[in-house]
Amino acid sequence: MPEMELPFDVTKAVDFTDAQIAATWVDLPGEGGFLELVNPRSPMPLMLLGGKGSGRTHLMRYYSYALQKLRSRGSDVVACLRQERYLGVYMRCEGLNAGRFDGKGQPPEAWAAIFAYYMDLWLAQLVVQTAADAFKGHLELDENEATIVASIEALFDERFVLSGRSLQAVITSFTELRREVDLAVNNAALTRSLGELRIRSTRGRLVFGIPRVLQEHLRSLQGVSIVYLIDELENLTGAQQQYVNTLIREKELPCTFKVGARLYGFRTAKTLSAGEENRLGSEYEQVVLDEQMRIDPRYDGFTRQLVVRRLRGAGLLPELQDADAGKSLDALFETYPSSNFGEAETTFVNENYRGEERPWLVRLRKQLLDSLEHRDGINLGTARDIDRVIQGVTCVAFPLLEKANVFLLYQDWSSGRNLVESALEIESTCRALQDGGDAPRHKHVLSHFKGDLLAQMLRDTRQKQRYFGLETFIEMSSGIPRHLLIVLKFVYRWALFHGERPFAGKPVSLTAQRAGVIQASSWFFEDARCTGEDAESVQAGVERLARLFHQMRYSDKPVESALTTFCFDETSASAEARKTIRHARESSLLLRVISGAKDRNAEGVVAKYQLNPMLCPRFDLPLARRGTISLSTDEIECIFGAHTERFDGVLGERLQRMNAPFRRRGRGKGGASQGGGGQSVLPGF
Amino acid sequence: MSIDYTIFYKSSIDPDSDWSKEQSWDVFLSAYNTTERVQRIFREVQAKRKLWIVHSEYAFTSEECPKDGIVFAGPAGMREDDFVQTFLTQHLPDVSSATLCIDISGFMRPHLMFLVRVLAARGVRVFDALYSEPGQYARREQTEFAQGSVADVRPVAGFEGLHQPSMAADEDLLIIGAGYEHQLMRHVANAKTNTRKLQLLGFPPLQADFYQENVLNAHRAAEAVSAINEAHPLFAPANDPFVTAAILQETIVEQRRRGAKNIYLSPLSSRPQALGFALFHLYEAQDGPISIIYPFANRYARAAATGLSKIWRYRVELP
Amino acid sequence: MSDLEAEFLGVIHALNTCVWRNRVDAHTIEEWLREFGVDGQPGSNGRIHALYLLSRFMYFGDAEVRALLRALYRDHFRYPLVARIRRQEGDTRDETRIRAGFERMLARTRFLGIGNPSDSGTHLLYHYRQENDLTTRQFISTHEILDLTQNTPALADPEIERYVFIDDFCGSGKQAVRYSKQLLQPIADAADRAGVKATFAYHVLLGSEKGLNRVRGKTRFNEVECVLELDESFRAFSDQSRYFCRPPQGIRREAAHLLARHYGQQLVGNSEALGFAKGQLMLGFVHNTPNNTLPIFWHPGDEGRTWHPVFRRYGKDRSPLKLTDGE
Repeated sequence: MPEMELPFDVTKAVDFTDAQIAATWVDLPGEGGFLELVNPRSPMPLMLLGGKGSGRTHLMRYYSYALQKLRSRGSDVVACLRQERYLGVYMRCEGLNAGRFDGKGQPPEAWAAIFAYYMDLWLAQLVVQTAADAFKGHLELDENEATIVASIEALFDERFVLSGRSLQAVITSFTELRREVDLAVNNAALTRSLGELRIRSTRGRLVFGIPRVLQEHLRSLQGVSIVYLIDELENLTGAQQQYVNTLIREKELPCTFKVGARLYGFRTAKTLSAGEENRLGSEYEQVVLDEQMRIDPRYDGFTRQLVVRRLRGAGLLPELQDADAGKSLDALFETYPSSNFGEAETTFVNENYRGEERPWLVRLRKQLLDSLEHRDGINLGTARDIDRVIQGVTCVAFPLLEKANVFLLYQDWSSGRNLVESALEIESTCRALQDGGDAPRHKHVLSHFKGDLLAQMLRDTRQKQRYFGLETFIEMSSGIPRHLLIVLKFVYRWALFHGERPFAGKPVSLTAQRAGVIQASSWFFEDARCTGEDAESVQAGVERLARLFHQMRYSDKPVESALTTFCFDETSASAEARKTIRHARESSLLLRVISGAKDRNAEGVVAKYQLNPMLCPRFDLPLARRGTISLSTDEIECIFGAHTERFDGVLGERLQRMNAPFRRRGRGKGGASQGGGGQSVLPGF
Repeated sequence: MSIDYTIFYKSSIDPDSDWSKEQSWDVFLSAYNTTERVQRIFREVQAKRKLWIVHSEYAFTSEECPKDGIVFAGPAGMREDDFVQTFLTQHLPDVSSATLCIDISGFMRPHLMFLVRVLAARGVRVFDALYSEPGQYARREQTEFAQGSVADVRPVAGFEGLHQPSMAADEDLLIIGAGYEHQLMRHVANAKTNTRKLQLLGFPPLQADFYQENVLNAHRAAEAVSAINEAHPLFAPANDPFVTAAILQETIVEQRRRGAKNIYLSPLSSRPQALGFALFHLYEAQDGPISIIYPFANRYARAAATGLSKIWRYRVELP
Repeated sequence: MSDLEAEFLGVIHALNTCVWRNRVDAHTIEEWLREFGVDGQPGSNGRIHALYLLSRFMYFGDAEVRALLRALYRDHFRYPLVARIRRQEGDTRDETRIRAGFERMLARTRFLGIGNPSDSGTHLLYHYRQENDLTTRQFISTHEILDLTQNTPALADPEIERYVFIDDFCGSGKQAVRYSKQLLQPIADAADRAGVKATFAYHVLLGSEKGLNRVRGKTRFNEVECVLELDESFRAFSDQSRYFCRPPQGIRREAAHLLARHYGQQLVGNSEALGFAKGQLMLGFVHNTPNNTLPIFWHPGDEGRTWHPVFRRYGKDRSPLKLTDGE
């Protein structure tokens, strides 16, 4: 273990040794676990995709030979392979330094051929190294080593004599062959020539041939799949990926492939076989790890175990049963206790505005006055009525109820009701609610819009938004465990800065939690800039979307609660807008929302996306996802397409319908929908 | 015995002195940008032929290109090796026979490094390099040099190592010469996720407060980089290629002893440090599993620094 | 908390983690801000300006000071000597010859601290020796330079060609001038009498341009070298101040100046409200904070006025208020 005084400092697989990965492994709770997901024994190739930090490399390393060996705990590793029925040959594409195979005065075809040869040599060496290590000292190998070497020799196109009769000699020879390629490729930058470089084996022959040879001559390997775990595919260009796809397409038993890539890293499904594409379902399966985790009910339990493991590693958690420890984690973070009508969460209002009119009432009064002055379609008699209205919605004891009253009044204003009547009704139902009576409109608002109203109150009183508690942080991570670790890391560091003893003394303060969350959110936004393509325009588009959500959330009459999700008609959006959205998804700024039934409209598929909750604190948006807004094609173009200069205009138009005095224009194509988030339109809308 | 880079000549020059009268060269080469320091040196330096290189990454239009001296403006999208080779073929086919001075201040780092590599290959044994220190960066720690998307992180031509596949996942190392450009640091770290990272900071800095601006920028990329030596970074002077090379030499010996196999170096800090990285590789790593990698951006800010506080002259002796 | 305050706190938090080595925490900062009275209250303009100044404070921790000591020796002592040897030997790269030449020169060099043995300049000598693999033989005390048993003081060892005086900081340069008058003059005279052309070098880690120029002009030091030279732009509120040439929106030089002067006055009186010799600097070392730095950062307070500094200075005199021993 690394010195884990700071329990959340290590957030990446690379910073763990193989032994640490084995020791700190946390599986998905319940049946199947990750094994079912990755299924290394299955001959079907798998594309394991995932956003950065989704745990892909961690998983692939877990199924690699190095970890299999550790799992055998020093006893016979071959027996372990037989038991697990696969041998994981782990390869990272970044080791190839694939960017070298380009330019230097050589045509692309030459590079394609050389790259394929080089990758073959690389994989071949890895598989021989793995076998040599596993069978070291085994009689089976001793007896057959010379035959194996001879059979490997025969895989070359021309007569090629390996440097000896041992697997070690094979490794040495492969090293020499790669060196030959390396020197030619590297020197081409200076000489503009590849010299006398010769390709000595047919594409793929070593990759499939060596495992076959090994299985033929090492009986223990019978029934054991040789799984090439090829990680970090994003390091290869599209053209180079075609070669990996070709290997997948032409795979020969006992080999199979499990390929790991970031979401944006899987550039093409094309192969070198006459440009044919590998098809999902027939040539390969695909798992998008974080999407899977977002809908998996076990994710919460899994992340809690992860946190428990980290805290234990730092000697910070008392020895409870894991399951109990997972539950007890919530108490480590300060939060607001639940209370009647949000009383505990809103004490700051009466502390700061004792005897003063609250900002939302000041604003309402001004709006009413202005509207009356301009006779702006408002249903109100005289200025004296304004006091009556304000009096009706005032509720000093429970600021949240007062805010709900104002919200209900805005709804009535928008629908043209007489505001004095409305205020009187709101006043009486508000009182009824406090007395335990029936108040359906109030209850509806409080159950759906409580978070948004509280957010508005915080903003109106110049307070920071609140993102507290482990559950919140897990929600923020949205299927990417590293995001949870990063939030906790920042929270932890801020707690130290504030002189606290996080996880060892009192619960972590609200101040430290807030600062940590904001830092994590900003980190994520900045970090996404170097993920995927067109990073700048993608970021600008996402920022516009966030601005739209922000303005809607803090409008007088938000139409949707907890709004961070939008849908749009993909068929009518421009190619440019679709591309920006696709890239935003690939860099995890937007998350695809997967609902049970397919969302369709008359014309075609309706795509639904959510702003990554990691971004929400940066824009004062909610983490929970409820409402969905349907964006018109025009709006989509203004946010993500070629007409971004019109964004402010389009935004303004939408907001006019949501802010007093609610000037009504003809509704655009877009509008509130009752999408999968479960939000319904309120009475009076 | 390993080479001692710190015996190479370097000297600092007061830009307000009569420095330019003291020496002249056959060929003077500089990369054009709009900063006062680069243009002033080009004007003042004494040389039989003065050549401007105009990097396409600065996106100068033909009207904006310099009018004095010989101008080579490479087309956009050229790799550093193509760019430098084309330039040499067109303007300096027999570079080894001339005395040469290069102002490295405005150079794109990969181009500068490859140029040094080609000079060595073409038999140049020694040349002078000038570097002018800026007074301040335009927006302190928020200064951003690279703009636009990084298209590719790959080895710099001429500095591509001979790497080894490895079964263990924890044997690769990346040394990042951390500068102001935290985005570039992130890119490099993201492209080599499975390496352990060491960060090398420019210290002593060019100006006293550059160090903490540098640290703050490196800190912005800290989560992506997660350098194992974050609390105890390596230091090499921002204005000294030779000490930088010496620090790399010392660090790599130490890291190899600890089991590092494949090593990547990424100079994202000052130009003198980039030159130091190149020198180290030329002298000691051409035949080993060590590469210099770089995040290639398609655009580069033209003028990130203001003022001219000092000129350095390095006598670069090649192997 | 305003966005600007959060931004500065973010910077301070980062600096504290990376450079200040967790020397400062939120509590220390809050106590410091409280000393500014209404100007330190949440939401006040003064608070924002104080935090801005703190976010620009230059701190040199243990690792940085050691690196500076290495640079001081490597760049300002070893480099020029090696270059001289190489030139004398036809640009040789023969390491044996270079080493032999250098060892000869090193043997004729003595390193000393500036000032009182308990001063920081002297204190740093230990680390200077450690970091640069030097032997104790190369270090002497000032009283060992001259042989005072003679009628007229003579050089104790006329073979020595180089006396290198090490210091951490040169602010106004006054200390070095005083030192030169009191100590260096008799040594230089003795050297002249003995016909020894000795180098008297003043090697310092950090120095203001003004101070260094004063040392160059007004002392018997014939070599003055500094690792990091601070020009006028490092004076916090000067016209060329680098801290205010493009400040964040909402930050004004005049407001910060007023704040630092007002509270500086309460601490050290009018003339030194912005630091000794009107230094206006914003820097500190792990071992101490120079008095040329704004007193609001370092003053520990006294009976008349409490003050919780962020980077406390340990004064040379008993009372921190008597800043006669300037530098």
